[in-house]
Amino acid sequence: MLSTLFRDPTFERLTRDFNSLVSQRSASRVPALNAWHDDEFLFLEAELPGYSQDDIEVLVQNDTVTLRGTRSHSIPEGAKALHVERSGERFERTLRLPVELDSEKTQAELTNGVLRIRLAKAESVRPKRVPISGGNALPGN
Amino acid sequence: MSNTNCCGQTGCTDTTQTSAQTQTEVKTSENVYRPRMDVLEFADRYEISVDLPGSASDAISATIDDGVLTVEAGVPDRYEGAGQPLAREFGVGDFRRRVRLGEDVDRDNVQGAYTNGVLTLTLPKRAEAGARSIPINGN
Repeated sequence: MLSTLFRDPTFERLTRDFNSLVSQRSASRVPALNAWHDDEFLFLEAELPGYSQDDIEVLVQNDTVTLRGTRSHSIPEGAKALHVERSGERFERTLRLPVELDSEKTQAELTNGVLRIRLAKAESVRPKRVPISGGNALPGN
Repeated sequence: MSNTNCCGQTGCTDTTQTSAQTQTEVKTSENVYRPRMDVLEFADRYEISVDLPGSASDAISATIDDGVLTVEAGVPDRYEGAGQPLAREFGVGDFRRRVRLGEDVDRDNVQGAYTNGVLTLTLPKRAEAGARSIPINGN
């Protein structure tokens, strides 16, 4: 189980900035995200039940990721809505991530309403193993 | 307590508990969430749609007992072995929701399908009471 909430203050601040811009511009929903990373990849996940692959776009540029989508979700002809909790025809969220990304290597998968995006960290920001030269004597001795 | 008149008939009320709303669902107990739900009424049926992201057809059960529909969905943990957390804006766990159905639902012929993380149940309405024709024997 992941421990709760934002550990990286940069991530939290920039996420908030973009989200307030998006929601002011339109009535889009801002989906909740879970995120985690390892040495090579940064992962984002959103729950988007009711959207199919063709409804969703994931855009990556430098250190910025946008996810957005639209679907038709109106009350069908001849039906009366007795109870509605699942409204919404659009969502959008843009994040500026604290790491540079290799957009060519991004993968996204939608399974049973869960969108999981795997972003590759740019080669230059991945941790590099430093070779350690051997010998018992310290230089200068 | 939320008393939604969901099927439009007497006695059809939402029996689930109400608590603070999060963005996608409401937690009612440890790791069990209350999924969002729509109820539509057509001339000949009701349609109930329930958001159950991260589940699977074989992990979902919809049962009707004594006029109460119970939808339960098992959702496996998706973060086993995941790396360092960066953000956690929603929780992942099983779903459960209960709804009292109206008397006009034909409880024996309910059908369901799970697509894109949404369970859609189709509940036909009973044929009008008293509209049965009586066979007449003749000589």
